[in-house]
Amino acid sequence: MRFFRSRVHDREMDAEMRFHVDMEAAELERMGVAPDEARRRALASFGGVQRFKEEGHEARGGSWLEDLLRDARYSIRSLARSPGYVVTVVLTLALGIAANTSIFSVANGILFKPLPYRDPARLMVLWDGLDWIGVPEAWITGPEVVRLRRESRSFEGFAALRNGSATLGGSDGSEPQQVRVSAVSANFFQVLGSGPERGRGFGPGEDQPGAPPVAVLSRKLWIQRFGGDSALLGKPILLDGKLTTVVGILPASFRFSAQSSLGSPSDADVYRPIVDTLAAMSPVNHSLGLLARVRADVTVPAARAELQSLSRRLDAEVYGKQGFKFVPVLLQERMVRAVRPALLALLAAVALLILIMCANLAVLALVRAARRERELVVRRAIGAGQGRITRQLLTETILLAAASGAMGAGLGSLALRGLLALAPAGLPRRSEIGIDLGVLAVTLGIAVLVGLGMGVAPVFHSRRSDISTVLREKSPSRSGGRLRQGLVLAQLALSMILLAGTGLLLGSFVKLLRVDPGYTAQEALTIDLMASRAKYATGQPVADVFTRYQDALRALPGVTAVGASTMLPFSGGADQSGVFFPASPANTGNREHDVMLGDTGPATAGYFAALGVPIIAGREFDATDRDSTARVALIDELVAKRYFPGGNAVGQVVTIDGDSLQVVGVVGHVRLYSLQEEGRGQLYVPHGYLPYRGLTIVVQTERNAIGLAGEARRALREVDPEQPIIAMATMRDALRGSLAERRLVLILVGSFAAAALLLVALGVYGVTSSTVTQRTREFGIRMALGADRRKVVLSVLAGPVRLVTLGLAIGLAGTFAGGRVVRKLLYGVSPSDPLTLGAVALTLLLVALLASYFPARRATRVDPMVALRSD
Amino acid sequence: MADRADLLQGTLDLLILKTLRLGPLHGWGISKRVQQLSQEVLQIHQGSLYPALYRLEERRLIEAAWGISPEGRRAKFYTLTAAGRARLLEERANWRLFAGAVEAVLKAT
Repeated sequence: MRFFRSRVHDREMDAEMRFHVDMEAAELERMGVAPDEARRRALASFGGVQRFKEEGHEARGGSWLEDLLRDARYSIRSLARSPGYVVTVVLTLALGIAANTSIFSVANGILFKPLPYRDPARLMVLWDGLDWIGVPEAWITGPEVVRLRRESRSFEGFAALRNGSATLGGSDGSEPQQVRVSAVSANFFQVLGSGPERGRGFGPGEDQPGAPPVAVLSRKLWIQRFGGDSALLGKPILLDGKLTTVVGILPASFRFSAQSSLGSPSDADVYRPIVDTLAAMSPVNHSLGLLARVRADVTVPAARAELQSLSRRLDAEVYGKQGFKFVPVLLQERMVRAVRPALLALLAAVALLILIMCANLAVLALVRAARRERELVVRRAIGAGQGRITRQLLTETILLAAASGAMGAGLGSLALRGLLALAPAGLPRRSEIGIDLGVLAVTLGIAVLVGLGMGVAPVFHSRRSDISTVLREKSPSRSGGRLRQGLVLAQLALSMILLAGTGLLLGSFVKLLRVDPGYTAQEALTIDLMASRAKYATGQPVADVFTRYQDALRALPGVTAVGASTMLPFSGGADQSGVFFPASPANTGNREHDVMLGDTGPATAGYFAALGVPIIAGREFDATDRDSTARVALIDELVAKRYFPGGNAVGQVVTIDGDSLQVVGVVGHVRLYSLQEEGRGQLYVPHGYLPYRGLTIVVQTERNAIGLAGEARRALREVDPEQPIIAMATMRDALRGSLAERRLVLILVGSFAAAALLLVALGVYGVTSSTVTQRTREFGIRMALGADRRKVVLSVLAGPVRLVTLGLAIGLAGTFAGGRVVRKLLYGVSPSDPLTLGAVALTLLLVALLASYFPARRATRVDPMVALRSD
Repeated sequence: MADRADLLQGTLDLLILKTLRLGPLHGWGISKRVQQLSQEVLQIHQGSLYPALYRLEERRLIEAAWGISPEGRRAKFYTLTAAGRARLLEERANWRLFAGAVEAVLKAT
């Protein structure tokens, strides 16, 4: 309707203008001007009918669409006149959006997106809380699963699971392959609410003893090992030497990793029914993971309450009232717990950076507004309405925001890819991470909001200005200076928080690098092996084959020492056992106090020499400790200090889970879980005594460890051609891996902080520079009157110093809040570490001074004559 | 050019209202009338005249209607409304106050 009316109006205007030009031409003719010339002059004095029509139109307000198109055209023309501004804004905004999109996508994929199961908020994992022995989350026992199924009313189902591994193929002539196996209750896929895409899950009774063995394969294994052959369904495969029928194939999207309190998440290649009779399992055998689904008509808190009352019953009946309780954890919470603090810190850091960027953009917009003040005021004076001007400025900023938004989204998806490539291997839900529409919407929302924010500043600015002052003034007006200082102040305070966080993380990282991991062999090759169940009977045959492997490796040229254990640094591969020294002088007679929980595991002869762990007293295991009758043990320095503060631990008797062994040596403590966790006391028994199938062999060499990998593989194949090798790495990799997450977080937060520092420097520079411009005349006169150069510089610097001091004071308050966000990531540094905060404050001050120095120096170089003329 | 003056900001509306007080006129007529009355000192630039006319019309201070000019051509004539007459009195008072004040300042020795 408006459009139509505007057409009519256009025609009317045409007629009116034509009339005006005709009258003007006629008058000129009367005054004796030739008709053609008269017409030309009349038109010229009009300034072009077309242009005039547009202006008349503008004053009236045309249709919405026409306005928009004209605004866009005008904006593009006006932006093209200041390419520097456009490039700065678009780049800043695009980088900010990219950082935000990529970090937010990771956080969203991991922390917030619901798990890909039916009604995932009702899924829990249950642990046994055994606080009195220092284990807050222990595996569940078989009898507990049976009782939970019988006595609880709030749960739809309980599925027990146990992770392990098995050898696939091998004795049928195919390449042997070690695969990760999850043994699960038959109802596992029902409880989880996700399952095979081809074939079926497990039927009731398939987890009963005597049921024919069946398995469900991951899609990855099905494709890689069996070429995606759909004829595999219903056919048998060889699993640990046992013919097992494949009944189902999982979809590619299927993910489940029940993380133990120690292990790292890994998706199983093969699911098979758990075969143990749960009720018959020992009540002290804590070895099952437990997945539970709360019934749809029961709330999660009600289910928790029921578990509590069940816990009290079990505590009284089974645990002798030592304070047993079930620990239910929502599956989602559990899966992301390890990375949550790092992700939250990254989110906070990127949010700070975005805020600092917004402040910077607002400053840019203010500066531009000041420069354009005259243009805007003049436009208003000749009849453009406030609404028109506002809309045109908004169009301009929204154009900028849209361009940066698009560019930022593109850059962000690149950044996300890079981020995932750098992310540590254990990152949970990695495959679920992607730029999703929600994230993109948030990103574009930010771009538009920032655009609106930037757009509003010049409007208010121009609204306050009055044409007479603007036209008289030569330099940009001072108004807006306060707002600008406020923005720079905000930048300083925010940067202080970001820099302090970075400083604390950096301090932690440096402290961690100095931590002694307990071993010296950096250049050692580690080989994870699993002795096949089908070929080697449990017990001595397993110990013997590992002895043969180690002998073969020891014979390789350049190898100086070989040994094996489960308890390698950073592997977390230990059992937890009750440890007691009957003859310890530290004993009080109270068993609660005298029994400690230790990390225990097997080690072979020569393990400590191969890894470079110091033997503090006695000897390490040797060839004489080989068979199962060798009832000896090694303890680490922590255990020795605790029980034998006066030394002489060697020769003492130790009981590990009730078995009495003789201590033959004291060894150094290694960081078993990570560099930052000291961990429990460690005890080792000979592999012959505890013949575990899975060990890691450590090969110390004078040469490059990686260069040894091929020869090592051949040497092992010579001993047993069917032996699969699970993994090969170096101790250096293990150390790097244990720091990977920290390093990534530090790099990201550090680059955000560097960007923030740059933005702050620009902000301070801008404010000082415009102050100097405004006071040009004053400085010129002062210099002309012979003022001291230094004094002038100092008087300029006083402004930024005041600004920085105030900004830092405000920021300091913020760092305490920031410290809380990173607290969980800190190591050996307090969140309010005065040294870090001081260094950060000093850095900011120096950067601000440096940024102000150049404009300040300019003040001393003002030519008095120029200064006097400048106004 | 020294005998021609640019219009002061804000005086254009006053001049238009004043010329229309004497009777309906078309745009060209208004600009000619102002030129005559000011003895060729004041020139209304067409680029300001028509936006001002549309603005005044929008504020209902003047009304426009198509009619026939003395030369026998179709033209758009502007007439002062009651609100326009009231505004004219107001603006005129303002102008006199302003002009008198400026004059007083200039007279001071």
